[in-house]
Amino acid sequence: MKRFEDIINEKLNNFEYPFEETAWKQFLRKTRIKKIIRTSIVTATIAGIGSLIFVYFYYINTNKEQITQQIKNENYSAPKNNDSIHIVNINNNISKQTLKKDLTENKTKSNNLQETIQENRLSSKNYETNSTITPENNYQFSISTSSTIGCVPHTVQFIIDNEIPKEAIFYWTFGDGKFSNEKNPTYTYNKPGKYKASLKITLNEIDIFEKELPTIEVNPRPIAKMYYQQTGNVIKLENKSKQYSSIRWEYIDSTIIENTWEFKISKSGTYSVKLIAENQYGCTDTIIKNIDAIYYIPIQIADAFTPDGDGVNDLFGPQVLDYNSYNFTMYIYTKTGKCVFEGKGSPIWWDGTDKDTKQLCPADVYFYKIIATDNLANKQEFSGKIKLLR
Amino acid sequence: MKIDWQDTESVRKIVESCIKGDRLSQQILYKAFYGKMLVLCMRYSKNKEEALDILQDGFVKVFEKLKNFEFKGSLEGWIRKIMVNTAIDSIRKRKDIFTKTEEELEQDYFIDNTFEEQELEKLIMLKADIIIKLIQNLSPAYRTVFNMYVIENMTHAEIAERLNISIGTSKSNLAKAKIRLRELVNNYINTYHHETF
Repeated sequence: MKRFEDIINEKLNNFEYPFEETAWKQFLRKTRIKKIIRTSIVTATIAGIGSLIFVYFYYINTNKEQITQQIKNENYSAPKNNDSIHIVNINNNISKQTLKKDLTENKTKSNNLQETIQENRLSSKNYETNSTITPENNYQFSISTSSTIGCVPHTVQFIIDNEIPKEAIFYWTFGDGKFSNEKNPTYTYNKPGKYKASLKITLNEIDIFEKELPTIEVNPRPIAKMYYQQTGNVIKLENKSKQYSSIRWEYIDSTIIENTWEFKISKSGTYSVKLIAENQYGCTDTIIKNIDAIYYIPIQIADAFTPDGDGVNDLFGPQVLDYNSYNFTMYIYTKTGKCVFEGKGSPIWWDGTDKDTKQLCPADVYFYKIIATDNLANKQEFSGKIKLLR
Repeated sequence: MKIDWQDTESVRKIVESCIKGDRLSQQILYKAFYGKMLVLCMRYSKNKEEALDILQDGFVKVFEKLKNFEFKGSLEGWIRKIMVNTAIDSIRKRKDIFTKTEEELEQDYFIDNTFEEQELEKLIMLKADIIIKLIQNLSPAYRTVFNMYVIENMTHAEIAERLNISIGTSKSNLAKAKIRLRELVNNYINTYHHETF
């Protein structure tokens, strides 16, 4: 039998909670607020140091003047004092700012506390006695909203956490002119904005509860858009997103943040490229493009040759830089369609003779068909005219 | 995008772009460790709200300190350490949770807190999230010492130093935590025995 500690450890180590998008958004908000405070402190310090330097030089200058012009001190001490007061002011501002932030944090914490207290109060409440007492002050409901910040379209679930007599009627307004009479409605905001939803509950035609809910912030989404173009074996991508603050390209394992991005392909196929646009609210839009790209085998084919044995342009065939990576099949036909050459290999050359008669072919226009394959199983067919000159 | 967190090179890549401030890499890292770290934070808190507070604070520290990560141990272990410290710090702020008289302490040593085999069998049948909920029902002092000793494998001396309490307090809190947890497990099973757990 296992020890108690082992069982607990095993259970907990093999368990994890599913990811929630809202948590990440919350985290982003938190870091953003921190950053703002930090940068304001940094700028304030820089300003402080700046004014100190200013004071210092001012002081030196005035000293110099004093020596040369032999003027008394009194006139110059005043501006120096003013400046140092100025610095103190800046510092005060920072501490006030951070203080204010701390205060709001505390406030939200105490709000949460209040809500739980309300909840507790309610669970111990007896509804039956309420019809005789003035109702307004006796009903307290705790309302939860699934999320108060999100991106368009943002769906919010409004839930009353307490039990309410069946006869109660609910009037929810969602802050955009729409309303609902359901007890726990779900509403989707399709336009960005700040919405103040409210709930009124009546029981036996008496208003027993009315409350405005915390503001729901619905942020706009950027529009992810891309443009792509294949030039040779290079695919070029360009970001054409709108209303965004940053973008990311995702392709297999790489992430690229530049506005334009190009990559080389070495194989025909479908390339799946993802573009994610994000705006200042942390809202994202994603677009995935499946680009059907064709890999072009980079071969050169001449349009004329002179098979006269002088060592220049005596042979005709596909030309590539690295023959080891390819394999070719080549056919040469006359205008009437008779095959005068057929061969496989890399490189492969036609020397201008007829494969059947072994005689030199006359000067004329011939037709070629070349099938090229490479090590990556790309296959491509080329056909065209070749002039045989003598 | 799938990342092999066992592979040092992929971890290095993602850590480096996180340090540069790449939001997407940060999100990938956050997403990858969210589930496990939330379990950790839940153990130290009374509810999810409190746990999320610790989690977010912890992740802020993770990203701030990431440049100090030396790729020696696993990244998960490193993040876990920061989370545990964050959780403990959040509890340390409320000093008044560990207060006890000496007599009380002495009594605690003699209480039998071992689980019987039958009880262990029941425990095995419980789902992890139920166990977490039961741990959350412990008082903050019990919960903290229980976590540090049983799951984080710290010694009583270490716990005492970290929480600024005596070794005796640590021992007594652990003993009581186990008794309370044993009660909670039994209660849970007796109440919900008809359901599958």
